[in-house]
Amino acid sequence: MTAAEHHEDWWQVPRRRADRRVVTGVAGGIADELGVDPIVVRTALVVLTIAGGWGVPLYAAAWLWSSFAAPDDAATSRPKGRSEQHRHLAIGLGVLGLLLLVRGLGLGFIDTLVWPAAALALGFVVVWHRARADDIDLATSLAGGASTRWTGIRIMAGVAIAAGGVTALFALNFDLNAASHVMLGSVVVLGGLALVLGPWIMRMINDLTRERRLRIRSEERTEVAAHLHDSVLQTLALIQRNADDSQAMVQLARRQERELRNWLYGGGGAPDATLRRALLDLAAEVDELHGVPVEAVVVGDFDGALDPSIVGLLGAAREAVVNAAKHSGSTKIDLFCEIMDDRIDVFVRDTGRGFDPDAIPDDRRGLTDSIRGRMDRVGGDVRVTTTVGEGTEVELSIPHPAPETST
Amino acid sequence: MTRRVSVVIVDDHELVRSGVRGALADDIDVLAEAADVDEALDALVHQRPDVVLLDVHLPGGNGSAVISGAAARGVETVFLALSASDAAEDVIEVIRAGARGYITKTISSDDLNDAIRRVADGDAVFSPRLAGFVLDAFAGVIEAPDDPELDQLTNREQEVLRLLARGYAYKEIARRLTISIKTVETHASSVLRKLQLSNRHELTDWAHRRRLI
Repeated sequence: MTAAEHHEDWWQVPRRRADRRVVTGVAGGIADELGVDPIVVRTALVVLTIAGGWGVPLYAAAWLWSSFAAPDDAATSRPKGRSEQHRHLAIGLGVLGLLLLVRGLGLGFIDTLVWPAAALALGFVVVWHRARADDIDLATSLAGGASTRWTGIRIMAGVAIAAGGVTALFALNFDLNAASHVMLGSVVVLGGLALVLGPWIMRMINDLTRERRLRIRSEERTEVAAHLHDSVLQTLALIQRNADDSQAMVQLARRQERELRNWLYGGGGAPDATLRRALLDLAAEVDELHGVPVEAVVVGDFDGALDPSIVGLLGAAREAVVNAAKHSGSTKIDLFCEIMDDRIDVFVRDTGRGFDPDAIPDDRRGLTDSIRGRMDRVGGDVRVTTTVGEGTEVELSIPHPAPETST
Repeated sequence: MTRRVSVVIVDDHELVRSGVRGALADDIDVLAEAADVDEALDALVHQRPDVVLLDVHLPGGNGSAVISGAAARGVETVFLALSASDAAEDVIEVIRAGARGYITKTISSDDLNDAIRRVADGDAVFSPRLAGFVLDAFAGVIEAPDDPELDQLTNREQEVLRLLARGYAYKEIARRLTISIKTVETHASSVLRKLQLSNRHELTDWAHRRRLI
């Protein structure tokens, strides 16, 4: 086997990661090369750093070496043929060997510090390794639900090893029996547990929040979809079927537009019993029935559309609008209502043909009479202004039914 | 009065832009169309139109972002807001940013052309709906004004606004109030100015409350 083949077969000069890196991407790059989780490499470096600081020169060496690698070198290829367990075992044994070597050299090596730290690190890796891929398993096993047997065993073993490491670290370095150290001992054990399990709990919380957000969003989407289906899509289907009847099409489109507007801007659960709502509905109905656009503008509001005087006012307004739609020939009707502190005014205006008030045929007498009749009964005023050829305006005015409780 | 008017159409919907373009009269030239805030600013800086037809809702910021961006770039033009929105706060926002008028997308071609010529001449353009919004905004809702001059409409201005809300054209208002058309225009402009200069966030509060009624 030549050197070149050897190089290509199982090892390439590591390339530092450009993304998903912690410091310079060296550990991630090595992990990519070896086909293991970067957490394994990073933990090994930490342990070696504790062991007399050897992780630092190793890291620096790896950095120098990898920096000479051609950036356009072959794509990351994970070694094949060996199982991941084997690779982990190899790394573990390599680290162990290095530790023993360093210990033999006696360079800044502290038994009571390094071995517990190594145990803690091992536990950490056992719990953490591939945790990302096992997210769901981890979540369910924590929640006490069903999980794969191996995940449970792995987690328990990892926690046990890490706890042993923490305890040893502490027992070997401090006098556990000293009362002043009991508190410290608890803190250290808790800290160790937090180190091992903390990130995991954080992730679970994140997952739960994300899941909740997604659910809310999907519920909203379902609601919107349902509404659009019931309204807009149905109307579009109707329009396609009535494509040759342009009048019907316009009416359908207009009604749909208004419904959609109400839904979008109407504030959803707005009560129907407000004067504003009643007037907008009135305009919509007449528009639909007679095919003349009614532009309704309402200033202020009053939430007592069932008040007798309001009912009278609405009835009169409806007659005025219907009348304009039927007889004026105007292309558009303006309906304006202003709710003031002391009174309510309604104006219905068209720019149609107008009429001569003295020459109204008897059969159309009903208009003014019935409007006047309604307004008289509720103590309101009517004024009709009309000019032949220019249009008509009906002004209705009533005292505010409940000035004290107005909204 | 046959001065040509140049416009830029800003709307994120291709269909709306072509619809508007098709509705414009012969004496109105479309210099450019734009679909978002950046395109709009680009078109304004390079084309310098007389009038910008501006959609209230745009990707990358709303119509008001185009107005403030144009001001920051020293572009002198007038904006006519064109929207399908019924949301009062949207309309008030774009007017407060400096638009000279607001019309709905269902406006007839004649009215649209007329509105464009009028804003080009420096007038304010009120649809009945805008008049209603403004009346609502200034109606009793706001108390303890910082500056009574700016925070209240005069009786005459209210009168003009009410007639606009009732569907009257400037000409008809002038005749009815026996004042000149120029005076009606002055009142309308001064209402817009008050809306823009009064620095009350209550206007926004009002808009929110209004939706909850």
